Amino acid sequence: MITNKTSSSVRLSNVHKRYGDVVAIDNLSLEIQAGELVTLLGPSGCGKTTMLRMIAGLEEATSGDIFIGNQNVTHQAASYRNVAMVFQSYALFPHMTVLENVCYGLSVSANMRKAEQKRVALQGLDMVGLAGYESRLPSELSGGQQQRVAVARAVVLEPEVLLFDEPLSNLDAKLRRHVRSEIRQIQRDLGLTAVYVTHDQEEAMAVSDQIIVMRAGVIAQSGSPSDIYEKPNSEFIADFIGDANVVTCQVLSSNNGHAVVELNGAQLSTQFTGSVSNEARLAVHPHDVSLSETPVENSFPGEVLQATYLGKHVEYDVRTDAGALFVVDQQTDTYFQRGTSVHVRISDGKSVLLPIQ
Amino acid sequence: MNKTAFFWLIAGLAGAALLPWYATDDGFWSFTWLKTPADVDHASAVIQVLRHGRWWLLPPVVFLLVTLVSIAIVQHQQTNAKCLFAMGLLGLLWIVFQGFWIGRTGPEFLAGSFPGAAAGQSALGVGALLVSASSLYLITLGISGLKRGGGDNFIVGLIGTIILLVALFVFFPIAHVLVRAFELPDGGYGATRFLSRYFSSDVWGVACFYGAGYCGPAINSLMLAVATGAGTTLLGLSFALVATRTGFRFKRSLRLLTVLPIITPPFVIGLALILLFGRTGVVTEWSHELFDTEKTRWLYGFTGVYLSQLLSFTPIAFLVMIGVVEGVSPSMEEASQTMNANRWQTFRLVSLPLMRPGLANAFLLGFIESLADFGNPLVLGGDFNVLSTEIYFAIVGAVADTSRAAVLGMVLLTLTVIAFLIQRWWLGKKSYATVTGKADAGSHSGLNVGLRWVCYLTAIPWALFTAVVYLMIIYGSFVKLWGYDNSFTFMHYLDAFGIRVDGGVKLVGSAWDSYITTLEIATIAAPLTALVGLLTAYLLVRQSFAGKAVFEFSTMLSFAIPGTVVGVSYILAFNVPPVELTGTGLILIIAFMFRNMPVGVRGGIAAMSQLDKSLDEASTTLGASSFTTLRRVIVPLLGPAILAALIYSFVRAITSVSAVIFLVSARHNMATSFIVGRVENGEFGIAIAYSAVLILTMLAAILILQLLVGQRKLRRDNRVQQDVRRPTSDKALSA
Repeated sequence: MITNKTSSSVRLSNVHKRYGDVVAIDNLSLEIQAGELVTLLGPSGCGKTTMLRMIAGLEEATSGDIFIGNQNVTHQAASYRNVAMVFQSYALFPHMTVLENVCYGLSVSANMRKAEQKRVALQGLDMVGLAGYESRLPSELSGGQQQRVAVARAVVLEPEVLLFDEPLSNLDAKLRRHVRSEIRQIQRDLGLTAVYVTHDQEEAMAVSDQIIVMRAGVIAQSGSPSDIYEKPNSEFIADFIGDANVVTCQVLSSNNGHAVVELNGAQLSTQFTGSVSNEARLAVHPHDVSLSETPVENSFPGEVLQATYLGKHVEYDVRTDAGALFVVDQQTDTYFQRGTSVHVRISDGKSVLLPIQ
Repeated sequence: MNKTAFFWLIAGLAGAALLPWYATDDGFWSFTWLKTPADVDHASAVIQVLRHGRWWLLPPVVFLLVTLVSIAIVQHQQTNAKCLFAMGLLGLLWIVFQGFWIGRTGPEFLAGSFPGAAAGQSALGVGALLVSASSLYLITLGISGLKRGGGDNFIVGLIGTIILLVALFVFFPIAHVLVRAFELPDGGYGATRFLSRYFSSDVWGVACFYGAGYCGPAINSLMLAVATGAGTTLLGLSFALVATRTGFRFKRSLRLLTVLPIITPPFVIGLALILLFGRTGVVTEWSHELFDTEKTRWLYGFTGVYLSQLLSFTPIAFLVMIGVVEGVSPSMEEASQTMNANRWQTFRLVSLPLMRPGLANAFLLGFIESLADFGNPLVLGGDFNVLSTEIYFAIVGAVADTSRAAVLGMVLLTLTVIAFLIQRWWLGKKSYATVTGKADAGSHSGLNVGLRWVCYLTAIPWALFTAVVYLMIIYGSFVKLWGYDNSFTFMHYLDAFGIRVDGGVKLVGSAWDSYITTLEIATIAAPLTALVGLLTAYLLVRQSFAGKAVFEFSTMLSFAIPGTVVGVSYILAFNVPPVELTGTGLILIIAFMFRNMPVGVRGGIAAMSQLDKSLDEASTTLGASSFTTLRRVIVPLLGPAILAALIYSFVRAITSVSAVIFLVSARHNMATSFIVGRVENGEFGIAIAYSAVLILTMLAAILILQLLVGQRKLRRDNRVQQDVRRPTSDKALSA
């Protein structure tokens, strides 16, 4: 049985990466605990893939140190690091069968007899549910199956760290959800340390112990999925993670992390961290807004600019005096048509004040 | 690092202590020196120092010893790496320095320097080779030990090896020619005389334009090159349009044309033209009988050379233009048509402008080919002198004038390099822009009627003409004495390839010697060429290192060096110590390697660019070294490119004549130079029979190689086929 007793923590301290004049990673430090799955999340060009490749040893840090376990691997080449990577394109060797692909890492690095290699590789394939496919060529597998071969190939090496570079981006939406839970399952079962790069926030929420959101080469926020969703520390996070509306409001009173604010005449209680001033920015998640035909308590008027029926819910763009709001309404039986005047209410206690930048 | 360094140190020291430092007279593979190992000609470096007072051979040995001690004593890796680098560099520099300073007749400079060296020394031998290699790899190990170049021993060593080889076998000979061109008759060097010779009217004369005599060879070469470039480009475009944009029924056989120039020795077209249009040619005879025209020698001169070059190089332009015409995205043409443009407007306003960079490329290619062509002008030139033949006659003529050859070589080199630079600059700036990674559905629009007929009327007759020319080669080889006695005979084949069986099989034909030598040398050169070319391509595509742009440019530059210049430069540079190779088979092999290497490089680059880089990275993260990755992932996936490089270098080694003709010796004669010799004696029959045999040999070789290397299937359906063709066409593009 493939077990993993070798999982290690990963630590980056003050890592810089420059390409010529372009700064890709700017003085970044982070720590990943052994056995954890950490997602690097961010828009394209934020440096998340560069980070992953530096941990793999495919890029060398311009300065700073990278530790895997207790070992400083900053200047160690990829082939000497005990990491394995699952590539976006899977990078299965097209001239080798599935079995040869999975055996490859064992044959080049592990000191293992042929028969033993085969046994371990078959176990790996069994684990990802591909027993019986070992003599196929990668081109004879579907995308999802190729994906699993790539995972098996990485896992059989029992790496200290397993790296995923947008592993699901070539799969269709339905398969993606299926494969990601499989990956999470294997990672948990084996107790692997995993670093997972994606630009899809839903995927990040679904698989991670920790999410590290990156922006322009620095960490924008890190924490558990619920922390990041519920307590965004900036407009960028609020928008990127929760598609949140960010509007300006007046602070009426604040006390011990709770504040009462006024928005278009409506009063709301909210949470905050740090300090607040009179005027503040409020992050409101789309499904914390409800629309009604008639005024209710603490509501304010608006007009539906666009309504999109999506089966499970309806999405609205609503114009209000506080600015445009994006609203997701679970109520689909009857929905408001374009141009309807509505009353907007924000659920009490759900929204967050963003810290002053 | 230490283990490898230790290995190279021991190898170097063993070379210095045991193997003869100087080249022995009997050649590389002879071991007669073992009988008298302490003899002054056979002694190793150590014995040379101790017994023969050649103290200047001591430093490289000392450098190696210092490094060995350092590795044994010093623990600090960085210090050791610095020591490896410094000592290796000192050793290599010293070997080069003493080699050039002390020639065959004592010190070359400052007579009396180097006490004890007055007797001179001969060329470097196997001992020196091993010590140099050892020093080189100490340098590269030092560099990778210092964590430069990714800290990868294999990669840095490979880069060092290729740089050294290219420097020694491409740039050193050219530099040598340059120096010779500045030589004064009294032995000194001067720029004024060089300039006056370089720009003399002997070379650049334009008298022929105002009817006052002959033009200089440079002007002739330029005129010919412009005409050939333009002619082949237009014919190539016409062929490409017929092959890709019409419903012409014999398109496939048209494409067959593109293979012909690759397997045709360069002067064979000229020979066939003589059989057709020469004084006793078929056409000449007919027209004499039918219309009573005079039998003249009109073929010899510009017309004949031009005609033969058009025939020889049109297929290359065709190959390039196919790529260009197909490169125009069908969706562009469809877009044009949806905007109500008719076929002619679409062609003129959309397709043609998109092809313009490709047309320029084909023109420059034809231009360079024509300048470098040696075989056709030699056979058909008559009084029409071009640079390449002038260089040849300056070396082998009644008055051998190497410094004139050097000057003419520089003129020719300047022209080709300028054309090459323009081509690079042009292609660098403009891209075809329409070849994207996206699958482009849609079909190319057809040609309008007028243009279609223009293409038909140029391409089809020309194709038929080419077919007739090739038929003449077969036919001519069976005719007793062309024009005088047209009876059928096997005589020429028997003369050339006769076998007598009495007791044993005896090869009595006059061509056997050169035929076997040619096959031997081509067989040795082909895999070496492919190896060097593909490894270079690997470095260029997959590795990044300081000076990569310069490295790439210099490997590509050797493309632009015409064969004649290579030939001259090799006999000038490798006829004297420290590196003496003339008269050996090795010099031929090396000449082929570095002349044909750029093709392997281009093919390799094209093929490797299609391999996703994440395959390498996957292999690396799975724990494989760069060498393992190369061996187990990249090489197996490069199958077709390897095959193409092998075929191409094998075939080029057989057909090449321009460089070879300077480098052959009595012991190592090559087929092409043998044939040229027969042509010069007027023995056309045997020359043509031999050419036909060569063409068949190459076809057979291509088939055998294809069977041997085979193609590994990556998919059940053969979608790869499309991709595979690209490197091949790239290859011929530079042919």
